Amino acid sequence: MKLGDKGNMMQTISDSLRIKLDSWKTGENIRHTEYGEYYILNKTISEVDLRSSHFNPYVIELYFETKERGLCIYHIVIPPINVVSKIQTIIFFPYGTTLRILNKRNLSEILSEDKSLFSNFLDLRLILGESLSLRRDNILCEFKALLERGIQDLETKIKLEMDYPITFGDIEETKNLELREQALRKFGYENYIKEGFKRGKIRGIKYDDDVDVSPFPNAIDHYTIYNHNAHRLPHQDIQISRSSYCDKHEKLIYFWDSDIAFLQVKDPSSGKIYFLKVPREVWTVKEAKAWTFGLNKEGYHPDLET
Amino acid sequence: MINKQYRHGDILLIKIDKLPKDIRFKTKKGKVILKGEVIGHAHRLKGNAKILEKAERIINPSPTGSLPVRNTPMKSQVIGYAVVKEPTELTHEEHNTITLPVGTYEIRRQREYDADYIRFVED
Repeated sequence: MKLGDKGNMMQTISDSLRIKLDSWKTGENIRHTEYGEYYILNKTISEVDLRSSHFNPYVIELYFETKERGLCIYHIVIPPINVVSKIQTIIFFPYGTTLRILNKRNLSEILSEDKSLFSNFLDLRLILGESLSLRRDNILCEFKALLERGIQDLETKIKLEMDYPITFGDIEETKNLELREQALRKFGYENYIKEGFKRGKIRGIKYDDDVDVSPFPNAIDHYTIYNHNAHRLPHQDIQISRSSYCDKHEKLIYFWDSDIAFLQVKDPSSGKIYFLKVPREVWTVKEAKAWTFGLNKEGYHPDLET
Repeated sequence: MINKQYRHGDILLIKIDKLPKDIRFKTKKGKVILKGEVIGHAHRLKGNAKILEKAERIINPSPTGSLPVRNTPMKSQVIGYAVVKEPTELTHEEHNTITLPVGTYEIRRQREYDADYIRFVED
């Protein structure tokens, strides 16, 4: 059984666990997506005291619950760390079915080679996106710290592999760029931008000056904001004051804290709106469109577009 | 004189006076400029025209110049050249047909930005 298989993942829940899970159904844990609502009921790292026992695993538990699928629990298990054990990262379902062994390696061998521990965890390295030289006496603490920093990326990775809905927050919080891109594509550029409007994440919008927005009243506020400011301070950040969104014309959309701007373009043949990512250094729609073909704005002047 | 440009979805054809001299070419088999890997839609020439591919690395891809991007490895976006010997239709399943006048064209492919790499666009 592969991780991506969609078998019967329903978990039999005891009354006590049900009470506990229901108590976690807070606004903080709920996710609203185009697929419906679901909860991430818990996202914890539980640690056993390895000093007292060499055989207790280090466990991350992630609980997902949807109306359609019921409860799923993921355990990411790091078996005991000692010089005779193998390091293995196993993701399994509650039934105990081993889905994937990510890597095995003898700890003493790793340490003796003085390599980064995490470079030997194939998937964890991808997820965590960083490596660390661990000191033997502090290995658990540092391991835990890394996992805590990468917990959102782990969650995103599992969601992607299991085809769970991706949320805006997942995209915002995922640090690994490859994972973030996968999540963004699954969520959809347009959804991401619309959600960004709702949440006040949009730093600014740029229309080319010759765009006539008069047929689209919803866009006038943005257009007005842009034009009032842009002619005086063309490179100043523009805060959007309302959460409306217009998908009728081509524009550049800038997010806070992002190196990427979105170019919203309209296919002249089909009228379909689509989004391209461009560097935030570009400042006009025309410049952005030119950039997508590797040209500067003076060099891009299509006589015919279809 | 400004060179004529024809945008056809994710490719851009720029009319040029003559082929660059610093590139060795080979003639591509068939008339398909670019075919989508997923859906299979293709930008295709229909007429007396041939498509040239670079036989070696293009050092200076275009006389029109490229826009440098911070921290971004620049891939050549010139994917080939078209030599049109009589007015030729450029077709695609999703885009209106363009009739290309006689001439030589540089073919560029659209790209998208990401923080670490450049990805070509596919329609």
